[in-house]
Amino acid sequence: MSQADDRDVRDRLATLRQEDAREAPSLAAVLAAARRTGRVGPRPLRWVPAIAAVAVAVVFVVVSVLAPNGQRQALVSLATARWQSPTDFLLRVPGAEYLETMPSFTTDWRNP
Amino acid sequence: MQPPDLERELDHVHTAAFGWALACCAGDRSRAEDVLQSSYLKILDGRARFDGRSSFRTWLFGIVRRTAAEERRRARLRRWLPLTWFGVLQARDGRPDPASALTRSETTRRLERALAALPPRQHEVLHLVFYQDLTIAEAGAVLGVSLGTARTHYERGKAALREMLKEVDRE
Repeated sequence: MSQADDRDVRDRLATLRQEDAREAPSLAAVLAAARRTGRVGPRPLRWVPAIAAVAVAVVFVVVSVLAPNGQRQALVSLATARWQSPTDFLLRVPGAEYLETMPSFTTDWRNP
Repeated sequence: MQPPDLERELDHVHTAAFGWALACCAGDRSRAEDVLQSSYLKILDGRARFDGRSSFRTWLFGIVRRTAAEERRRARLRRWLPLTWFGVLQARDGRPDPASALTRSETTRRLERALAALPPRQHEVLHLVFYQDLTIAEAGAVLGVSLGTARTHYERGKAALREMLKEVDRE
């Protein structure tokens, strides 16, 4: 891109700048609107009430689930629960029954 | 810097800041005004502090750019809020105001369309260099990128814009 091309782009954007400048609101108007919509000065912690409300809701849910009658109760009764791994069968090796029985040896071939 | 000094500095760069806010908001005038208000508020209530590491203008432009990005994220979120579905909040579509578009010349509108068609970074660098008369290094500082990256966006953006303007001129 040549210098002339640069100048052309610069000129076009200068025209755009002039048109924007004509439409620009005054600083006083922008500041007045800013002061209307937001407080100038140290901002209060506006997220605190929202966070507090969420925290209260979470505590309420936890308490209502864990202690419906004022007593702590387990979510699952461990006495009735039985868990079995889905890959248990892989631990069963062929011929495992021979390892669980005691072989007997005798010299009497007719009555083993 | 004290509030009266800040206001004096803002007064110097206000028109340029409005132009930059317009560029960050795809030419949407009302959104640009909102962004400018929020940016000035951040400065005046001390959430954004000028530490003198760059020029005041470069620093302000960085704030305007970040605020515009926050505003875009909020607008995307607002689209999903039930209030928008019921029409309580009007979601903006990000296009330039029709009233503003009417007052602009055809040449300017074509230029705006060509700039809007560029990738955002290229558009921003070209705006900062040609419209705001910043150096490429200053444009890089506003965008938070290195000089080399800014220069790449500048060269590619210039070439792309030139092609688009040629097509526009032929029409």
